[in-house]
Amino acid sequence: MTDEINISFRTADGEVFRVSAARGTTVMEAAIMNDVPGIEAECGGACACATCHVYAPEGVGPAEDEYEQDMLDFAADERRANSRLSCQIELEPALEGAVFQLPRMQI
Amino acid sequence: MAGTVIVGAGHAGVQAAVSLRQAGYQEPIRLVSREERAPYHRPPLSKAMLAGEKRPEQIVLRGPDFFDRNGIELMPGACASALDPASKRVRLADGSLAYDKAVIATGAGARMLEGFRYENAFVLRTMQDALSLQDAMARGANLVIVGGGFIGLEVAATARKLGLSVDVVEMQDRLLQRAVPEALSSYICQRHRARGVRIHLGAQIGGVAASAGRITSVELSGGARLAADLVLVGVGNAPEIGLAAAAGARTASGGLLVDGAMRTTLPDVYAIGDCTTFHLPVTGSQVRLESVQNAVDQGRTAAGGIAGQGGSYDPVPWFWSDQFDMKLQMAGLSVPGGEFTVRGAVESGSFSLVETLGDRLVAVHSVNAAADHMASRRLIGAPGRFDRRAAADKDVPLKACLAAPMDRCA
Repeated sequence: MTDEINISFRTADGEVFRVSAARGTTVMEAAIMNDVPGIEAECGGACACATCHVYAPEGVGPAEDEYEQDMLDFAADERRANSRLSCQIELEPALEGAVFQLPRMQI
Repeated sequence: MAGTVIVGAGHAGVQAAVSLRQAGYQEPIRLVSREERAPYHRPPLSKAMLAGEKRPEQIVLRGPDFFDRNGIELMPGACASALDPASKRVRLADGSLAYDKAVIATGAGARMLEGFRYENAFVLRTMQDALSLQDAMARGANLVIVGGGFIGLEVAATARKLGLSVDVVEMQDRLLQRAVPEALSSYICQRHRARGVRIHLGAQIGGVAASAGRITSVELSGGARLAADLVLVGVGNAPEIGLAAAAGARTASGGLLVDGAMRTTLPDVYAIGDCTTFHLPVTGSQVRLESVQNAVDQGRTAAGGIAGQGGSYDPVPWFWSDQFDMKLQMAGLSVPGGEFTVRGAVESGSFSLVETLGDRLVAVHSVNAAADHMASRRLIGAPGRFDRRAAADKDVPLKACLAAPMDRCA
């Protein structure tokens, strides 16, 4: 299916989880639906909790939304230039093969 | 070992199961779920899911294999009919489950008003409710919402986005009376009206007109008739306490009374989430809260206790609501006599109402102000004097408004 996009998550301990999910699904939802540990997503994607923090690969781009940026300031782990809330990134073909690094903690 | 039986698979029950395994708990865990479908997030039911932006499988709390993989026996479609603390068993329709510890996570049920029991009148609490409402919204043009609380206003916003005509009928003279300060009520009311929601405040329902089993209009006692293809009743929830209350658990303010470790007054029976009443240290008051934060954090606390890690529930309560372009975020709880300072410009659509009592910060009610909200979750209840005048300047970070307590010389 061309609508399925494959991405990976690498945990803080180096373990890699490969998942595939439909285009339009968020990166957070792809992690939750595939039981990737290290994403809490307490608010279920409302950009209200900062517990789905990831370090995004090149090509995803930094958070442009001011709201997301403000939430990222309060993520439990270190905020870096490539920090994103994974509930705000939708899967699209350009993300095929992308690897998202998980922080050590979300809470 | 019989392990733990959790009754209810909402946010609280699922979190308790997850946290038990994360804490290394090795005994069996059974998760009794009245619903047939996999456990899901409730907040999107009135927003993204209802709007059709999210499919049901996108809002699951955990993936389909999670429970098996973690040794959690999810029992969908199972209804717990009795709790027997003497024999330590939970009775189901077909048999019973033995437990070492039971966790009551039965939540609350949406109240339906008598007089509105027609096929086109809905409540919104479960996924099935949302799917039914969604279906009716796709076929109807005029939606009347009874109740100007969070559910009513979120559905109003979603319905306007979908092009429906919307009336909201609120008995009180302002919206969200129990949840937000008056100034925020009127701001939200104004925003809804600007988007075409007709809001009727201080309105009494006179009755409904119906034909062929369907409501055709809702009448206000002043005589106004609101045409209705469908009606949403959003007048709050009743906590589901029957199971434990019938077994003798003490209740207070409508909920199951629990201590700081989430224990009910019955031995080895815990309760978590919307169905509990408890002492909240940060306000010093006894409360019952309906929120994701409360459900999740109480689930964690109960799991910690059962797994032998201890821990006491002492949170800063927080919750959120999304309506049109407003992201409302509330931290702390309003208190009688609280004083409000406006932080940021209301006209800009991004501001907070900072609530203080004397020199204590008690709550922050934010509209499109994530930084204020997140900071306040750390500052409420922290020691030190809070300077409300400094907080009026949005360029001064909230944390700079809290002066560390002075060391005293001996």
